[in-house]
Amino acid sequence: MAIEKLERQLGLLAALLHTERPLRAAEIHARVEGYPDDDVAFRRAFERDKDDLRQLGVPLEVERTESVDGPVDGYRVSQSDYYLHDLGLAPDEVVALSVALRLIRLEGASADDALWKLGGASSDQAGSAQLAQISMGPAVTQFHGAIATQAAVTFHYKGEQRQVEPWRLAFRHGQWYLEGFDRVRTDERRFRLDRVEGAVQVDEPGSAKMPRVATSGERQPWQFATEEEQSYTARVAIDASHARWAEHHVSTAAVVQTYPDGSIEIEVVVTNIAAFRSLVLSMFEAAEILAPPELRADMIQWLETMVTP
Amino acid sequence: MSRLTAADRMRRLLAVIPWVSGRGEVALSEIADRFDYPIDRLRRDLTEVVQFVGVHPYTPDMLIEVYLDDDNERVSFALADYFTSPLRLTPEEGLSLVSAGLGLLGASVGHDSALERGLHKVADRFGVTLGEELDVSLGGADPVVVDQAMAAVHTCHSVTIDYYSLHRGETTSRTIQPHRVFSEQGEWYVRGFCELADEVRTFRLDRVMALTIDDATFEPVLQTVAGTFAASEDDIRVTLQLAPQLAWVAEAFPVEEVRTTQHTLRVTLAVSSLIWLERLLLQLGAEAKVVSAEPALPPEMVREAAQRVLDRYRPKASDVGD
Repeated sequence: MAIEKLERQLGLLAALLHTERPLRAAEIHARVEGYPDDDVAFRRAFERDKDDLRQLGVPLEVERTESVDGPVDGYRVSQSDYYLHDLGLAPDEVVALSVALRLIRLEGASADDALWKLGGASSDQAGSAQLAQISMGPAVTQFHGAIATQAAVTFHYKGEQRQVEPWRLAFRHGQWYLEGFDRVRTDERRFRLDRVEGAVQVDEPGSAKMPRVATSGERQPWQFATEEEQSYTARVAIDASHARWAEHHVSTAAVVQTYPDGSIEIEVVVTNIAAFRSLVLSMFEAAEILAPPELRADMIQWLETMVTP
Repeated sequence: MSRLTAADRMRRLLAVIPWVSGRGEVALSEIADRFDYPIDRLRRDLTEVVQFVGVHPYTPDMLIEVYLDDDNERVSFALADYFTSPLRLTPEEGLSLVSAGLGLLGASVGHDSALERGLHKVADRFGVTLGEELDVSLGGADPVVVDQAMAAVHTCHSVTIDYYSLHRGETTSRTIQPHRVFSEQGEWYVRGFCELADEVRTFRLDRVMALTIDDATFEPVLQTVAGTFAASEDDIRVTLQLAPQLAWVAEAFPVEEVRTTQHTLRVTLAVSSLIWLERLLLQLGAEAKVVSAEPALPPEMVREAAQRVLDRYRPKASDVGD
């Protein structure tokens, strides 16, 4: 029976891990079982196997080594680069992480491989059904690499080329967002990763120079700048019926006045009028913009266009 | 289970061999469960492939030894020296692990510090600054509430919740039998049988102001993963015409149909709450129009809602509340 590719590749990997010096192709041909005798056919199969191993993440090293015919390529896999030994996880930590991987489904990623490398998780441990899905496209890894090396990135977004110094990746509302400094607009922006068009170009490490703005917690939608580039401090009156909801969704710190009937007034900084309007409208007539006059007028005009046909 | 390719089997075996080697004798069924490996395929791969893996000169001491017990149900290895550890995590895998861990951490309370400790080790290894460079939020609910709800699902205990209804502006106390906790589009939900409503309902956990686990238990309900927001037959089908700048609506909500005409977009949504629709239409403004609805909407619904809000901004004749 012909030796299966799987067995041959396991044998190749064992040989490359076991060897103390780089192995030449001819030596691999002679030592690893399962390759065709013919040299051309061997070479083809060997090239494919190297690709497959690299695809799996195997750190396959190529070094020039001396032979009677002069220098040729030698191959090996360094054990210290191959082995998953450096995480130093305690057994209970491995279980906890495995359960997390099983409960949170990561789409399009090699999450299964990560889980298996930790030893998998049994159905008993994971217990309940899947809790959530997070999509993990290659862009997530690429942008993260850029953040870690402080490299600027260039990509197409809404039909325009953007040059961004990336600061932060955040998964919010079921989507990944990149936050950073937009060099063209010379301001902070955030981008939805699934709307990034085409390939992302990552510049030299260290090419991002803008100091990152310290993120003091999550910013709210009405605090992300739009093209208006102006900010307002808005005051909103909220009935008692919606006070708890507002405290929860805006922030307790925003409450500047509490009345005996339970109604409150909040103050928020607004840089995105549309998002602010949506926030206030979500409370219907239980909320009213008191100040500034511009935002109050904006709301009145918005409502009037809906009332007058 | 679909057929595994050679690469799928390779990925699994490189993790299975070290895992079994470090454990002595292991049941094949446990390997199959943990590594998502169909048991017959696994048994054949161990006896017909792994058994023959080794290095030159392929003498018995250079080959992996695979021992199956008499019933072919349990396995152990010897001499799998080259595969004593799984392959290290790739950067993608590291980020996946950190993302999943961060997501679950936001739904767990102090007692599960193993997750937090493990997460920090992995993050350190992959140079991820948690929160500052990478953050995952699966919802704004109180982690204690999410954690308790998950525990109740697991043990099939009823829970009593104080649920805040945004459109009524009131809190109701409800006893529910929680079937499932999940996060979707950035919010945590619990789905279960509500005794007050006498039907299965879905509740947003960030509107749960208090949750207590009751002594009462219920029979487990078989849950399918799909169909979280599956449209119901009772839903209203609303077709909206949207100006181009409102195209995001088609992405933000589960729409049933999207049609693009020359300058506009038409989307059909299944809507279970009129209040929800009313709020959406107020927020979308005059650039969104209801084209049709089945069954029909109350006439002038949006205009009246806008008028109600507008009245609040008009000079008040008297100090009458709503």
